[in-house]
Amino acid sequence: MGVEGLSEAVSSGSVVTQKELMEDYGAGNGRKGALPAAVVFCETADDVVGLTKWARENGRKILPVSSAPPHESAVVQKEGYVVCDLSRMKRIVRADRRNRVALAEVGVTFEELDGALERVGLRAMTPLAPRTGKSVVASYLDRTPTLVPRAQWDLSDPLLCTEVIMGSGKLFRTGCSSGPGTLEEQWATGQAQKNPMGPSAFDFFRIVQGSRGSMGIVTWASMKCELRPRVHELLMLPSDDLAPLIRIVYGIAHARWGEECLILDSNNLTRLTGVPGMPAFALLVGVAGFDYRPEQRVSYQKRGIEGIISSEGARVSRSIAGVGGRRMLQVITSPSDPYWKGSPAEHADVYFLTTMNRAPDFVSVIDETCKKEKFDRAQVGLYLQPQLGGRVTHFEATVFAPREEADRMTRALAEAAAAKGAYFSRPAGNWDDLAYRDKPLLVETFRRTKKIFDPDGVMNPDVLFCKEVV
Amino acid sequence: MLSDDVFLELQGIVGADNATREPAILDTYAFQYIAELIVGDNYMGRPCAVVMPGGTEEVQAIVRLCNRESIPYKAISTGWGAYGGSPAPGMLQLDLRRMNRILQIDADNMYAVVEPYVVGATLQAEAMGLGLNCHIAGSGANTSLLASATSVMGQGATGVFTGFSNRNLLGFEWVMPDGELLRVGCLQDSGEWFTGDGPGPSLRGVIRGFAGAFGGFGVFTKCAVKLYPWYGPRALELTGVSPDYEATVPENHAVYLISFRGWQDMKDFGNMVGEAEIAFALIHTPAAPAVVGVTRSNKEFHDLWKSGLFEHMKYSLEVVLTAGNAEEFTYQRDVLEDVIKWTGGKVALCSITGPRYYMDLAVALSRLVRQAGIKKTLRGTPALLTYMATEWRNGRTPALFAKALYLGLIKQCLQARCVFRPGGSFWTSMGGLTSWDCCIENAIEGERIKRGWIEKGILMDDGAEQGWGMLYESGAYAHCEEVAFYDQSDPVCVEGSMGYVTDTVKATIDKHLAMSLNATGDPFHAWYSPHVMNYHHHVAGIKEEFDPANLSEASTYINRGITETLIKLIEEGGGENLDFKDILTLADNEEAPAGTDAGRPAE
Repeated sequence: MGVEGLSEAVSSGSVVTQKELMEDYGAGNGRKGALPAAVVFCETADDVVGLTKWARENGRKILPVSSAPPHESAVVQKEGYVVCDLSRMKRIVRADRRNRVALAEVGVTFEELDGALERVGLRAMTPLAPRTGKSVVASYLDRTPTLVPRAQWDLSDPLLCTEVIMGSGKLFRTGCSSGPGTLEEQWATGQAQKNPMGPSAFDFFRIVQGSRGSMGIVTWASMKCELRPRVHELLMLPSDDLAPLIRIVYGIAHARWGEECLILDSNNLTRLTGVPGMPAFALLVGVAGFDYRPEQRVSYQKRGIEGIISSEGARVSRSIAGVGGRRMLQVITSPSDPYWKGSPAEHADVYFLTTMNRAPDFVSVIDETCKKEKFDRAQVGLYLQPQLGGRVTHFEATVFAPREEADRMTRALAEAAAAKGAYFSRPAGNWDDLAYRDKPLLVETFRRTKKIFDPDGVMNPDVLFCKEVV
Repeated sequence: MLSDDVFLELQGIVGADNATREPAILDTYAFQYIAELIVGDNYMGRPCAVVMPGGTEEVQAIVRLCNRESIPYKAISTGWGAYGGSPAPGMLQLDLRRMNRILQIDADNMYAVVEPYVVGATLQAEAMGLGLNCHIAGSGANTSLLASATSVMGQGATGVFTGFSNRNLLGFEWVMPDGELLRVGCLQDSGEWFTGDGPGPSLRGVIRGFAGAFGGFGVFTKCAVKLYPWYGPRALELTGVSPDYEATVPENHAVYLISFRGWQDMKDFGNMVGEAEIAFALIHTPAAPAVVGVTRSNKEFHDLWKSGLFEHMKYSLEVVLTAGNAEEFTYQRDVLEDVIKWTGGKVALCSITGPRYYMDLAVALSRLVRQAGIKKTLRGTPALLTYMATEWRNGRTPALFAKALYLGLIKQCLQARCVFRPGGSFWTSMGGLTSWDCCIENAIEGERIKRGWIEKGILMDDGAEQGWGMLYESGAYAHCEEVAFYDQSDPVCVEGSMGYVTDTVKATIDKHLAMSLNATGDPFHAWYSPHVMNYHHHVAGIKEEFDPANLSEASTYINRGITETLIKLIEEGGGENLDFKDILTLADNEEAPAGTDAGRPAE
């Protein structure tokens, strides 16, 4: 299939059709896939609008990509796709200290954003050691969990307003950025694109978020930022047993204390730090002071958290396997290069939502499934991330193995977890179909919703609920 | 007209005692707050019948029957105005009052699962017993949590700590407009309710936005809402005699009323307190409702208000602190005092008294004198002193007022008294969710506009500035709406209040002050949508896809045909020259009865 007229459709973007330049987007890195018909490096929203209109007229499908390679899930699965690569859209439009908000284009990475935010006394809400080159907006659009549950008021956080090109080719802005007024006119009245809801009676940003580009293509987003800590420490609590750590997490969540709060197992701790001999589990809790009496804040929160910990008969460790709090904090909050999980050819993830008190059940599921599948349990890393102020827990198992074996195991783990009530809120990998199994009405509702905004089905239509449910 | 056969069928679904066609009872459902603004009468359209389902299956059966018989329907729970009804007669009203159970409180994971008729006061009382609390919307503690979470707005005084109803919604159960039952979120997988997002996209974005569908998009029968930690006693210790109640301010809690020099100081203060994450509530209560709150009758109110001094108390904010322990409370208080100092604030009332606060109060009063002027102060002082002396004799000291303020903010229990008593009715405007700075700009503009309508004798003289504003999510966003009191029995006032709202809507558009909370229903969509990405196409697209017969009554949600006709008429007639009443009249002429698709464009 040709791509006639595509270059003319995207005025400032560039179109690539050379096979060797398109391999990053299809098969490779142990992933199955197909080569795209073209890759369009879009530089403006107009380019995306032009591409979308061209795709509608030519019966093509679009896969949006905004991070640098290697691509994990944004991979062309079927022939005939055109990739919309947004990684060159790198403007940080605004870093607003007064409103604790940034507005950035979709190609901006965590390392790029953090540099801009640091200059105004802010910091981005980060996921666990994201890979370098990872798009901030893409990460937030995927509802990737961030490290500070206290600061997450909605699972959609820290995503706020977005500019989206729908499958219909219409450009839309969500939340209060939709108007009245342009962004500049809104800034003049003190607005800062802080409210993600609406406009009026629908939250289009929620429909786009989590859709893996199947509802529209985002070109920029505003996002909540945190004040940059003046004082920042990490409390570390190693444990052979998960149960006390869980009780401590609940205690901290109910007190609304602390910043970063997560549990990692020995495998992940070792992979992140490069240091062997890690404990079975460790709870990591950041404590910070900001612009208001920072030392006093750290003091009372630290004392309070240590009190919760001591009520479990435990004590904070100054270091774990020789890794001190400062270094550990740096490791979990900074972009990782090379990526701590290795390349997509070397690992696969399975993740779902549950509640923290159910986490031990799922750890048992991992243990039993590894045994049943005769897979080395030591090659599975666990990451438990409280979210939404501690009401929800992201449970992530990473299988460190060559891709084919990793895929086999993640499928088995996902099947076993599903049987125990795991909720796959962010379907991905070779287990994404499980999220929709036995839910025909839900699938139909999503499909009807897609049809409203993407009537011709040009937006990444072979993922999630669009796929045939097994 | 509902046929006897269909009515019998409805009785069969809900039981004979739970369905009625008695006109007198039907009219009680039609008699609604602000009906006079929508239909020019205190009564909305009379429903054809009222049914009271006892559970989800019954709701489903009713909605299916409505689809089969092409009967428009709408559910209400606690109800709060004309939104619960229909301008046109003949709609089937589902009254969900029998569905009133708290189904679950998951104390560890901080959420509760509720049916539609569970009100804020009930859940709050149960939650406090477990060291938790819930977000109660500004409609008050006697209104439905589910309605607010799934369908209607969600502003509330404690939002800086307890968020906004839209964002407190977790899993939910939805009888879709065609009667299908969809359980959204993790419910289908684990039977739990901790999230309503996914798998993949979130249908929370389909069912509601900043506003909601106001009952125009099927029926929500259960939902989970977030709970928040409560660092107070398991039950508040109440004292007082109706209508004046107070609560003992517990250890490590405090309430403040702080006065400022002007708007800029209030902007700075709100931004700082928000990001410092120290407050349980931060709210701007305008002077008039505050005076209503401390008086027992309109006579008392007017005697006090005519002193002319209170309208100069507009630069004020109320703050509540709640801490888990003494050390945290000390931190909160220290930071608050820093911010008060930096922003030139003075504490006019506080639950922690002492020489320092009396000095602050003296400064706050001297500011009031400066702002009011000597002459006005001298004129107004006798009325004020008389009131204070009377209150003091009755034991109502400043400390008691602080306790009453604390109770009002924690339990959200003064709303109805403060907004309905002074003028008979009220309407509100502006109040878009945006930055705190822009909220203050809304208050300033709202005051300017309202003063003109007060001077015309249309709106009650409340001093003009009546911005009810507050922060949400540690100041991540905020809202400030401009409340106006009017006499709903006086046609001149009713018409005039429409003019006031028209002016505020135009101001938010022309001056880019954020889309107001009025942006629900076709007339407002017609004003806003052309300036807001033509959003009505998408909202209407959702409605039409899932309710092609338009049976889920949508007068406060959307009817594409009406909205687009009105947009065209505004364009042709010169939008600047049309006011809200004109638009409503046009809407009446264009009204497509629910249950028809007359309003829809040709394919």
